[in-house]
Amino acid sequence: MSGRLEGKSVLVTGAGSMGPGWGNGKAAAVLFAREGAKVLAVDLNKAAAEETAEIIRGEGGRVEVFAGNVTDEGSVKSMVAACVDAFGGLDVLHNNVGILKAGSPLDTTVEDWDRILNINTKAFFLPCKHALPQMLKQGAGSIINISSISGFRNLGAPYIAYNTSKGSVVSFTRNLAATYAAQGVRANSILPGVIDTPMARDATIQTSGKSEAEIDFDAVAKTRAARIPMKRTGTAWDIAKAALFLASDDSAYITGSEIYVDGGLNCTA
Amino acid sequence: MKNPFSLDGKVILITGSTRGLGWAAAQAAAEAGATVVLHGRNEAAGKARKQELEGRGLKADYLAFEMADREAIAAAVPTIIERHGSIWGLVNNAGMLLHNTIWEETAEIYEQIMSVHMVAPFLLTKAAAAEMKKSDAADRGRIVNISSIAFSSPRAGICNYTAAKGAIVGFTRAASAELGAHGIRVNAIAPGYFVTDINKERLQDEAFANKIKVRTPAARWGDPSELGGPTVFLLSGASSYVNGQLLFVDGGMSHFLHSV
Repeated sequence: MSGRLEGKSVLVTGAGSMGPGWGNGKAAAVLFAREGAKVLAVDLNKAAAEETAEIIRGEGGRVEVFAGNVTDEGSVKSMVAACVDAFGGLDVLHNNVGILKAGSPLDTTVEDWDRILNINTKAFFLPCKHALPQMLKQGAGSIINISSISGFRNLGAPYIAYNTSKGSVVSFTRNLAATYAAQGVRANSILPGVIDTPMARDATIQTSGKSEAEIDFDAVAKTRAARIPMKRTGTAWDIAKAALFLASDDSAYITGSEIYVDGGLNCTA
Repeated sequence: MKNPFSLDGKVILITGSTRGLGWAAAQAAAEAGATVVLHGRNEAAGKARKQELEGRGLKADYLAFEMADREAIAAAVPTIIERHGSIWGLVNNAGMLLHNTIWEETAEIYEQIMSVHMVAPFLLTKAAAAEMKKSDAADRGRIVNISSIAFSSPRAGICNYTAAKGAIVGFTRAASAELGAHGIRVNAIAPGYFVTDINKERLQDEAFANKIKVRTPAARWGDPSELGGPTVFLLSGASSYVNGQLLFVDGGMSHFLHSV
């Protein structure tokens, strides 16, 4: 490895995976640790965060687990404090948390709309709000927010609330970036395309109306890959590496930007 | 696990790389392990930069030719294959800026600018991609085109340059859609305002230097070395699933409109 985050204190939300395999937060937490970061692995599900932490510890990395809720301001304050207490600072904030439920504008209930928008927008707002004072005190920091290409391109599936929330990630991040750039805090968005993660599999189950056992995920991936210029779906590691670049000083003059990690999907007709 | 940003064993041609942002990119790529083929119009400058990199224990070569010389462009990739056996990366960076209002601009100058910024990158891409396709690996090569902040935030008097820097973005997206299936990724970088040697003259104009500073959220011009990281990112395995993108390296300028 290259030690790109040597000595940096990193807070990763959604660091656990919602099922077997690699989610974006889990892969990012592990990659950051491999690059020398001290990682606070935050997840609502403590067991999921523990699983990520076990992998990091097994590789000799430095990690602490925090079971917390990114939509609860008190919990968010505590996780930021826990990171500073454990590691002496907070250099990188990586916001991964998001939920998805299928629904068109006609069949999305007000309850679902409120729940999805509430969780998906507080998931970046609250950690940023409470990490910023520490970063401003340090005079440096990098914030990475996970948006989605579905925030700007309709991919044919009815995810109106989710897609709206993911579009908002970019406007929030651009505004935050412009506000604090002069004080050394950078903020950028990553827009994943079609990535094979446990959450994406869950979305496939939701829109197909079938059970997990009835779906041939390899066949689904193959059909999707045919539409993508690179002829493959992405992995959580593809996203994690882009996050590593944005977390590191290699991207020192990049702020308010977006990196699409989609194999070129948004370049095709 | 290996360093995802490594360029060990990769041969990379960077046009316009004896000074400015190209030179910064060349140094970063060489430090990441690549054999960098430098390029400029001037033979002596190329040779000196090659020796400079080699003096630091890095691997380098150079080619000298004019971007308007189609025969020389056609010979570039075959020469690299002959000397180094393969090509992994191409950075289309060479460019020129001629200030002209639309009233002053002529078709001849406009075409000359397009030739350097659009035709030469197209010809080099075609030649390099044909070689990259021959690789047995699934991941076969990278092309990085240097666009400009002018694409999103133009200023008066550079219509030729702005049009060319926008056209290269269209070419990048089209080439990514076409070459992606061959394991070749094509991306672009839009640098903001950097303290390059050429821009140092512009920095003498205090009003202009200040205007850019005020318009940039980071409240400073970029240092050329800050283009190194993004270039290595897009040339390496770190950007494994990034294709057809325009990455702004601009201190936040492109999304910011200052109300003064």
